[in-house]
Amino acid sequence: MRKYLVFLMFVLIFILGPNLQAQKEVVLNVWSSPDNADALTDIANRFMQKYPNIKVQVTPISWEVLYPRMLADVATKTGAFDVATWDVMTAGAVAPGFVDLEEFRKQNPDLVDPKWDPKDFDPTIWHIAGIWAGKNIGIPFYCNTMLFYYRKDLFNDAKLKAQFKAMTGKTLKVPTTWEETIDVAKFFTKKFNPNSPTDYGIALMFPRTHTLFYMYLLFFAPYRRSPEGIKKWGEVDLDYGDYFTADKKPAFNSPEGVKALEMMKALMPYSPDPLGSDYGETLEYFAKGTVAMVPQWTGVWANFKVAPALQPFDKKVGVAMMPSGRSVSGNWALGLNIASKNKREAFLFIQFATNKENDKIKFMKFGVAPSRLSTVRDPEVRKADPRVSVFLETIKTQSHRPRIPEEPKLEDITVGAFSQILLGERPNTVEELNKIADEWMKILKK
Amino acid sequence: MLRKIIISFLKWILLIIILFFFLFPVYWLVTTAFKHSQDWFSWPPVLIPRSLTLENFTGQARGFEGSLSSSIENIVPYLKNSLIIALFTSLFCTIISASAAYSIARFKTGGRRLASWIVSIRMLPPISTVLPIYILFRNLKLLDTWWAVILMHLVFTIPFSTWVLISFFNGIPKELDEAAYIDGASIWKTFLYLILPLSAPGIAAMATLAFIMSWGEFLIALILTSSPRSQTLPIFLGRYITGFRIAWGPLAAAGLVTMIPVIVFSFTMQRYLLKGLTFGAVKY
Repeated sequence: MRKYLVFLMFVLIFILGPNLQAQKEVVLNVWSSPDNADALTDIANRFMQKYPNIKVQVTPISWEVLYPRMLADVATKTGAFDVATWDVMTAGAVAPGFVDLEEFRKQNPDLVDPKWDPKDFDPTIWHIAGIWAGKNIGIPFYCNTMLFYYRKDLFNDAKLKAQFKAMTGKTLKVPTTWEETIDVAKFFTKKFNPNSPTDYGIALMFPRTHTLFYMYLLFFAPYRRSPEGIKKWGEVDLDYGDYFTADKKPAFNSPEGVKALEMMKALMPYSPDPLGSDYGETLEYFAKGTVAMVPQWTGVWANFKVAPALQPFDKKVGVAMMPSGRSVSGNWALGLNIASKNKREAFLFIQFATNKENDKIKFMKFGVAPSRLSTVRDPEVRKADPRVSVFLETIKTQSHRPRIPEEPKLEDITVGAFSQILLGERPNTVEELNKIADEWMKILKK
Repeated sequence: MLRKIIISFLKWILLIIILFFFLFPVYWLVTTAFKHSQDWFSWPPVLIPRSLTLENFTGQARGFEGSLSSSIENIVPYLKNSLIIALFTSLFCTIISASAAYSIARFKTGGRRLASWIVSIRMLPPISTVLPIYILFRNLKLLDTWWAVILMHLVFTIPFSTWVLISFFNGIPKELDEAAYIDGASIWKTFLYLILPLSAPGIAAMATLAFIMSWGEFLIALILTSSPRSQTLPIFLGRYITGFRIAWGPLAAAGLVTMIPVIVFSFTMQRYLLKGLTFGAVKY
């Protein structure tokens, strides 16, 4: 019996010992959303070649988990991570947990790379994915936005063009307004046009999740950002986003807000399961050739590129700006944890990961949307990817979600109510939207 | 005769329905792990894949470089962490709960209240304890280590195992202990050489359950670990839920890898379940 116990002790020491050992080298723990993890790992490998005394460990954490884990660390100041990717809409909530990098640069001039050009970022992107309450809490890393993908081969098909002309009296083209989208989507829906080459016209995602919260902005922002909208509600505050007026009150509880929901409802018959679909489903509908159009994020390009139904890819898939010209931002930034014990090394890594060279590499190799204007303007990049020219136009005009700490609560209330309106369980009226706005104000006044 | 055939037929039908209900998700997971990406989401669903692929394991169908969320090539450290945490949780849980249960069952340690108090720990939702524990472990420098997870897993596996083993030991006649004492055996000897072999089925079942509980636990592992140094498989699986899709194929492949050790462990323990039943002793 005794020999068994001695053996067990040895096994315990052998296995658990290394786990408790203090680490001699500097190990940076980088928490990343899965979308950014491959690019960050690649960057980390090159960073470690440059700085052999620093080990970088990239940990992919799913979107749903990353945010609460970060909040837990912000609250307890544990320093469980050194660097993390944070989502633009969580800026206000996570800000207390991140170092002011502007201040850090001033205090550590020896670490600053003179070639690292802060003016190379689009000012709006720099603000939404970098600034909170006047502090530089992050550096834009993944400049995600929504684009409008369409079946180029179908829109160029002479027979289909003639059919569309006969049916509607109009010319078949990539829609530039949501009203035009209705006609095109109807034409590409078998139920309304038995000759349609696709089952449905457009893949929409209006599930009862945060997806619905940003999808609404594709339809409301054109009103919010119009000259009349600016006159009525004032300029868009980049912290409160397009849901709000310039004086930080809800703007969607208005006839324009009702029209946006009406447009969403009008498009639903031409989409497969719009209330039950999210990213994955809409991506697959387009990848399989079930639909002719889909509004989606920049990252889906890689999936479309390898989809058998979309080959030859360059002839079958086109990309355009969102109808009505207003996309929605979905940026990710890199931030330095205020509780990190390796701040200098972490700063070096962030600086390295966001320099011009890596911004280009991460896009060309991994499809992670560029953050720097120099990358978007690079001829090699523009030639390699047709998204880039559309992307540059889109980021100039896109709408934004709120970045305030109350955002999750506002989102919860809104997606529930909007779902009921889209289902027809609640009337789509200004009075109904006022009820949501009243709940928002209660939360904001707390 | 006809009635017998009908009853037998109905039994078979019922059995097939029940088996289908329990085994179809497993079948779906296994087939999805080998499906091409175009077959993950299709209507009607692809029940029998036309062709199989290993790309969900190797990450060759990603459409861009990198494979962290399109393959399982980085699973090994997480698998190792899960194995170590679950095995040690199971081992410590078995040792502690068997000793505690024997003491309570035979010597009424702590009276009735201790047994009730032990089981009441199970009623405490883990989320209510994990945040204070997080701060405590931070001060003890235990965060992001196997120990942190093992200790917390013991908190919810020990009460359950102890409670079940109390009933098990109560089922073993006390006369056996008394016979051992008359032959000169100490309490420890009686426990180790007589009662433990007799209770092998119960202990094997508890060890298996503790292993499974620890293996599949998500919340505690999520809060207390932060890097591949100690993160477990349930945390690893989260990487396939990306910002724009759920990678069902690699997720199923990783799920398959996650299932295998539990099945192996359960089959290994099954031997002891049977061995304990046939161990020479008073039988009723």
